[in-house]
Amino acid sequence: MSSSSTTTTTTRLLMLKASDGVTFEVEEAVATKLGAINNMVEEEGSEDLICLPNVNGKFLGMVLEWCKKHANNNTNSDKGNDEVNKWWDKEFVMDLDQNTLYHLLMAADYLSGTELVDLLTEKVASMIRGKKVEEIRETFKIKSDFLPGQEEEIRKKNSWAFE
Amino acid sequence: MSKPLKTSTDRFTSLPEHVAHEILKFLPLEDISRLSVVSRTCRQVCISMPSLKVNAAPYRYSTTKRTQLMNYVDRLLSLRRGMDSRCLFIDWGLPSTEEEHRVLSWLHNAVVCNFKQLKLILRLKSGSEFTVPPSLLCSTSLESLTVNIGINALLKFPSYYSSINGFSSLKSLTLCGVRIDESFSNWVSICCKFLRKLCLSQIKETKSLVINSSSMHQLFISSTYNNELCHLQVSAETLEYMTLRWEFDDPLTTEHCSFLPPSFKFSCGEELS
Repeated sequence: MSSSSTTTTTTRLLMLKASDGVTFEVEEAVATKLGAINNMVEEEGSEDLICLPNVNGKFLGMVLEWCKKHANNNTNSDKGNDEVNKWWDKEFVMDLDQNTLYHLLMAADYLSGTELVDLLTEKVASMIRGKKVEEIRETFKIKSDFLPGQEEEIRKKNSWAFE
Repeated sequence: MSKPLKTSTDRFTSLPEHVAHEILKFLPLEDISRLSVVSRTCRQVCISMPSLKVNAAPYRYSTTKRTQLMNYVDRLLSLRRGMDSRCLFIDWGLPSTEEEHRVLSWLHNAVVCNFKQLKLILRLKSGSEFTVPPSLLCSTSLESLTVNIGINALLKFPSYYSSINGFSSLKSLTLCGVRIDESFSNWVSICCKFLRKLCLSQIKETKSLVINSSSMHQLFISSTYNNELCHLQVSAETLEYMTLRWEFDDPLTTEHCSFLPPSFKFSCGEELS
C-alpha cells in the first residue's frame, strides 16, 4: 500500500435523508446494496444527498444496518463469512415485532433491497407455514371477509390441506 | 409498484400484492391452500401468484394426498387464466398412467395460461418414455423449458412434421438427466429456431449430436458418467460461450468432434478414464 490517503479517497460518502428528516451518512458501497440507490447513483452521478420520502428514519437505519453488515462481509471472500452472515441475519429477524417487520419489508421493497426482501418475506412465510386458518388469522389479526356460507364452501374445496 | 391488496389494517393483507407473492414463494401448496381460507383477500392473492410450484415428493406414499393435490392444481390453473404467469415448476415422482395424464393436462394449461418458464421433473420408471406434448410447441409465451425425467427414461419429441413452426419464443432449453435418441439434433434445429441457450447435462443413449443453429449464444454439454456420445458437431455462427465436459470411458473408441465456424476459439480438456 503506498499511502493511507489513497484508500480513504476511494470510498465516497452519500447522505440519505429519511421522510422525518433524519439523515444518514453512509459509504457508497453500503448504500448501493439497495437497487434503488444504486440506480440513483448511476443516473445522477454527482448528487451526494438522496431524499427518501417513503421511509422513516427508524426503518431506514435498520435497512442500512443490514446493508453495512452485508457490504462489509462481501469484500471478504472468505467462505466462513457466509455462515457468519446467516447467523447475523437469523438474529436480525428473530425478535422483530410484526409492526417493525411490516415497515422494514415495505422499506426494503421500496429501496429494491432484493436480498433483504427475501430474508424478511421468508420470515413472514415461517409465520404461516404449518399453521391452521384460525392461527393465521390470530397471528396477523386478519378478519374474515367472506360472505355468509362462502367460507364453508371455500373450506370444503381446500379440505385436503386440513387433514 | 403494485397497489395494496385492500385498504385493511392488518399487517398481511395490507402488503402490496407483489410483496405478498414474494412470501408465498416460500410456501408449499398445502400452506397456500390453507391460507386461501383465511379471507377473501388472502384467497385472491393465492390465486394470482405468478409462480406455481407443484411438488409431489412429500406425498410419495399417499395416493390420496397426491390425488387431492392434483385436484387443487387443476382448480388453481383454471382460476388463474388471464393472469400474469411466470414460472410453473412440476416435480412429480414415478407417476401412474393416470397421474401422467394429469401432468400432461397441466402442461396444456401452462400454454393456455401463458407461462414463461416451465420446469418439469418427472421421476419415470426405467425403460419408460415421455413425449413432449405437441401443444407445448404452440405456446407463444414460453421462453424457458427445463426437463428432467430420470436417466433411465427416454425423452421423445413431437414429430416436426406436425409442429413445423416450432417454438416461437423459446430462448432457453435445458435437458438434464434424460435419454434422447438421434432424432433430437434434427428436432432442435427445426423446432427451436430462436434458441439462445442450450444446456445438455447427463444425456444418455444418443451417440451423435449435431447442433445447427443461427441464434444460439450459449451451449453447455456435459457427458461424463457412462458416456455414450461419440460424435459431436456444432455449427452456430452466433455462439459466444461454450462449455464442453466430455469424458471417455474407453480410450479405444473413436470420438469425433467438429466446430463451425472453424475460427471459433475454445479450450478443451479431454479426460481419459
